[in-house]
Amino acid sequence: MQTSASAPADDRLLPRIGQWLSTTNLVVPAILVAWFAIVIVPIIILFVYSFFSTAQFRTVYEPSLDTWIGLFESGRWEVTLRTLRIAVTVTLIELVGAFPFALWLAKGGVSKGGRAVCLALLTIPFFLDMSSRTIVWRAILGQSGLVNTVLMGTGLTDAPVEWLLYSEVAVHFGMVVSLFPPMVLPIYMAINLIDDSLIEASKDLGASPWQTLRRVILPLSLPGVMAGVVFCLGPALAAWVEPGMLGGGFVNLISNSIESAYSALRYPVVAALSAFVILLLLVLLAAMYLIARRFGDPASSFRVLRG
Amino acid sequence: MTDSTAVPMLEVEDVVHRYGTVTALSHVSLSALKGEFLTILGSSGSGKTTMLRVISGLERPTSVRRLRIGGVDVAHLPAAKRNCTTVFQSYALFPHMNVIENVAYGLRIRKMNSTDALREAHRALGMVQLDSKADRRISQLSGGERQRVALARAVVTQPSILLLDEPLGALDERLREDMQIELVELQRTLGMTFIYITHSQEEALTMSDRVVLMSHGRIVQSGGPLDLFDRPNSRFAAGFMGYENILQARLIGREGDLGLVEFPGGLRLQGLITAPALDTGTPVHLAIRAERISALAPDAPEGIAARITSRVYRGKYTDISLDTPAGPLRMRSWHGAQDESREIRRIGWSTNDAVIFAVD
Repeated sequence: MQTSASAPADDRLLPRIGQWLSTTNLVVPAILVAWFAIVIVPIIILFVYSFFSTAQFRTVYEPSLDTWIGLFESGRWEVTLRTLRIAVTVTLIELVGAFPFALWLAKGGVSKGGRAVCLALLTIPFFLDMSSRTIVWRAILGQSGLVNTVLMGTGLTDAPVEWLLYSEVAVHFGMVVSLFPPMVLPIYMAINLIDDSLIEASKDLGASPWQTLRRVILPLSLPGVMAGVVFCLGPALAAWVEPGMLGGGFVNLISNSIESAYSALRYPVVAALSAFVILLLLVLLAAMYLIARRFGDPASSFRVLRG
Repeated sequence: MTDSTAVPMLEVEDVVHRYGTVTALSHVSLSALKGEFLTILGSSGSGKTTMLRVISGLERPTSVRRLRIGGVDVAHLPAAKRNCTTVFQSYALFPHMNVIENVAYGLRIRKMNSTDALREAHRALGMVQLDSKADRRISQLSGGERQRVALARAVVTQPSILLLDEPLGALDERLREDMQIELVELQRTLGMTFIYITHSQEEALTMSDRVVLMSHGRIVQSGGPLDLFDRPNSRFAAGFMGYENILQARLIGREGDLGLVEFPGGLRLQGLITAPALDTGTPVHLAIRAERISALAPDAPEGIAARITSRVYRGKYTDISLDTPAGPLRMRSWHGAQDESREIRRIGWSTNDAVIFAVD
């Protein structure tokens, strides 16, 4: 490993640090320890918390399965299924939209300028707080919002279209908009890494565009597709802003349950629900890995990244 | 070359290709017979790779009058539908497939069932002596092995024409020489037309039936390896083919192919005229290879006077710089030959070794 940043002002210290880092085998363990402390430990604590219970707004620190049992008895199945359904639907919509877009952006003969503009546009959503971005849609999709005003003004409808806001459609829509960049960017990166000569070789050997896509581009872009699904599915399962603002209380997802448990100070329930979301995510990712194997060996796809 | 009655396997007529304002190919015509080993020789930027891409269909030319492979008009067919395959300079092997899957790719694309495809792929791998590594990953192969896999992958579908884009460029010298021989043997066995791109005159001379020399998007000269080596007809061709001595003179007389030139100091020398239409009185170049010059006795009636200005020992040979009435000349003496060290007063060469062509 080499610290590649070589500040011109200090041309001695950095190489020395780099050399020290590369000779000692401390870097990888240090990163692992830090990651463990910052990310893994809280998750473990969260999981442990889910085995406590609450009595009179106080957490009882005695191991029990009450919280988990209560979780499944209180009819949260419906909420869980709805959350799963919406998250998976949103992820699939993203995938269907993002893959062709990423393919076009990376290999569609887009000019350098055009590509830079597209990538810049994709990062714009990160500039703005998600609530501010989402709340704007209320003004656009509401009963007296922009869309309905236009629809009624042109005489296409007599009464405002009600399902545009405070509905599952609106929640889906909000999530699809906000999760598009996290899906597109990794796929774009992966496709961009595919050497043009591989695509040319495929054509040259007689493959139709579809065969080239299926046998060369798709398998080689799997790492990006999987990263995109992770970046999309995780936030979709935990989505909180969109169901709250665009669902208007009619679309309850797990995150809403977490929120209400939180405001009731029932921390073990919060922990159990959060742990449950993580478990769901793992199950879905495992399923995705199995599906990805049908399109190519995901392990060998990563060889492209290794060069 | 095979018999001349055969139909050309490749016919390219008047192809023009421009990248923006840059003209990569300017009215180039080319043809190759069945089973011919044709080499397109040129430095980078000469248009040779563009030519190959136009033939393979990976590049659509700006205009072309005729483009046929095996008598079939392919000018408007995509690369996938043309009966030719390419061995890419970078090999372009699929990193997510192992060796045998790479080789079988073209067959699987053609919906051949997997048993037959595997058998054919193994056969092709055997042809390049790599059958033992069929299950290896591409990343586990050496450069030479990757080259062979790329070759096997390209020939397994039995195309009419194999296009090779500097396939030996990335190999070390020893391996390159072995592969040259293997490639020629493979080509003879398959009876396939090979169009081979290289910037190395050595590769062109050792492997080809016919060589086409390109420069700045045009064909400068074409012919057998010996024609190009011994009868260059332009300053560029002579320089590219390694003529060390290219002298300025004026043509004062010709008799058939034999020409007489006069140097500014009045010295007259004979040589072979390689450019057909050359009038007496025009300024010309006379070119001679360093190794074709030999020392003569100081009182010999033929030859020209010379004085040594420097000697450079280069291992296998010694380069000797001379001052002569025709201008500065370089002669080459093989290591161990007596010219290497003795004094030289007079030099000469066979008239057939000096070529005369127009100043361009």
